[in-house]
Amino acid sequence: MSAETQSASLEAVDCTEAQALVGPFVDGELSHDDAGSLSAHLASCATCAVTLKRQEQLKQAVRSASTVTAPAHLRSKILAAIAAEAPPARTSGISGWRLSPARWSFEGLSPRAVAFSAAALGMAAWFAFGGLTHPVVDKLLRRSALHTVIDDGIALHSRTLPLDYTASDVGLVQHWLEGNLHFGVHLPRFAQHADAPQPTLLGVRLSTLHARPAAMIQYAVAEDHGRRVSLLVVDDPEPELVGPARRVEGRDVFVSRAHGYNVATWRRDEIVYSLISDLDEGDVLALVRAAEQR
Amino acid sequence: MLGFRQTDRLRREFEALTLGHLDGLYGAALRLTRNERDAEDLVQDAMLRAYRFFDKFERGTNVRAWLFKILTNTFINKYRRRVKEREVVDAAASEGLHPQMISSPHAQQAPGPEELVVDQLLSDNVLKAIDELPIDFRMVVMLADLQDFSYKEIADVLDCPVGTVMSRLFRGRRMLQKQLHAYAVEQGIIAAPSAAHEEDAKVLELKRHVR
Ligand SMILES: [Zn+2]
Repeated sequence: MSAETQSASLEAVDCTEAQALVGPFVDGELSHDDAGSLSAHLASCATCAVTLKRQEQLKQAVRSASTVTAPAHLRSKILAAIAAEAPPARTSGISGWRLSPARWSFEGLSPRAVAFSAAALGMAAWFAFGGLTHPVVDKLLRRSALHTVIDDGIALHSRTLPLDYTASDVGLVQHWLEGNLHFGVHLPRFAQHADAPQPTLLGVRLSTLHARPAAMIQYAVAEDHGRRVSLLVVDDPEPELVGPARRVEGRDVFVSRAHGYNVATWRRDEIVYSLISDLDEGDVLALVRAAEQR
Repeated sequence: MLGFRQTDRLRREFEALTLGHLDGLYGAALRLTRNERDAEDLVQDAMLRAYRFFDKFERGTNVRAWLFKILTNTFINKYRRRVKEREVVDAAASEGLHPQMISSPHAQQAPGPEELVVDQLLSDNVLKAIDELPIDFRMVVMLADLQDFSYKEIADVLDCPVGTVMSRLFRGRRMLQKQLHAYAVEQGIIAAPSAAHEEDAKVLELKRHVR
């Protein structure tokens, strides 16, 4: 039974027309009649029905991938800029008033309230060793804070964005970070280890992750065919890191594999450190050990 | 010149009308500039421009479209040069893709392994694919899919005919599909050219969990 005979009042469309209508249909742009014609065609054409499904998925994927919240400091920067834009009468008392040269202002950040609780790691018993691979747990953790850090970290790592400060000396970079971040970063001096790769510091890029200031410290591992290692440092008092952890140098280290990268995440006070690399898991853990060794 | 009270009232009105759109503007700016710093600068520039021209804004009309128009114009005039070289490369690369506007539908849309790939890819792949679109296509995709503007609104924002919006959207989405498909092949989520795509879907589901 063809769709056309069911709805004689509607103009029948062929595949070529249907293909052109699918996008506007998904966008809610078709007239009632055109939408009816398309629906009739889709009911009898699996090929075009798949195209529709694909378009819907794509639209949804674009939306969910790129929905973001503007950083809190942007709002205050804009308010200040607008206030400064007012006529002279308004600003006469404070002439020369300028936006703070500092990259970030922190009015929007919430007070540190949540301390990291290492006790919430009951699931660790599920996995002696082997990483975050259990599908059920993986699903549960999908939306958790840890995964947010991991996903964002990988996104930054894989993009090789330009650096804000380039130096190979740990002291110089540490000093630069102190001048540009409001939170203290402990920049690791990777202890020399026969069994750990020796990363060379390349520099640092400032960033924001979900409105929180972050620094992405980049390394190259020369002896291992020019692989890169990124250390993402986020000032993040909130998310509790939950998941199977390993104990490394007195820290709970969450090791995870995603999108082809190995990621080790741990917390030191209110700062979350995340080491991202395509090095193998053993090497990544060795790096964490070298970084945290005191 | 405006008195203090008047200025203050104007400023409050401006803030009340526009600040609610900051997330959307920033999201769009991020896709246009492809980095956080430029995105912030762009949004701030656009908002300041909007404020300067606020007397030109006709009250009661679409403030969101007006803001996005200022944002995209600011981007084109001021920021686009920063990423110029890359765009040239993008444009050259996209020539090869030039999807024929619906010339032979069945040849292009025979159910292949790419059909249900989007779900399996992670959002950073999607972002990367969007960011690789040439700017004209990226703008319409972003305005339609991320900002949910109507075709007419997009035409107003970009100062172009609705037909142009539609064809760019069509082509932009097709490029996006191709790119996502390429990522999926690259990552081994799906086998390169494959026959039985239902089998693929199963294998793929397995792979995803087994990782
Ligand atoms: Zn059809």
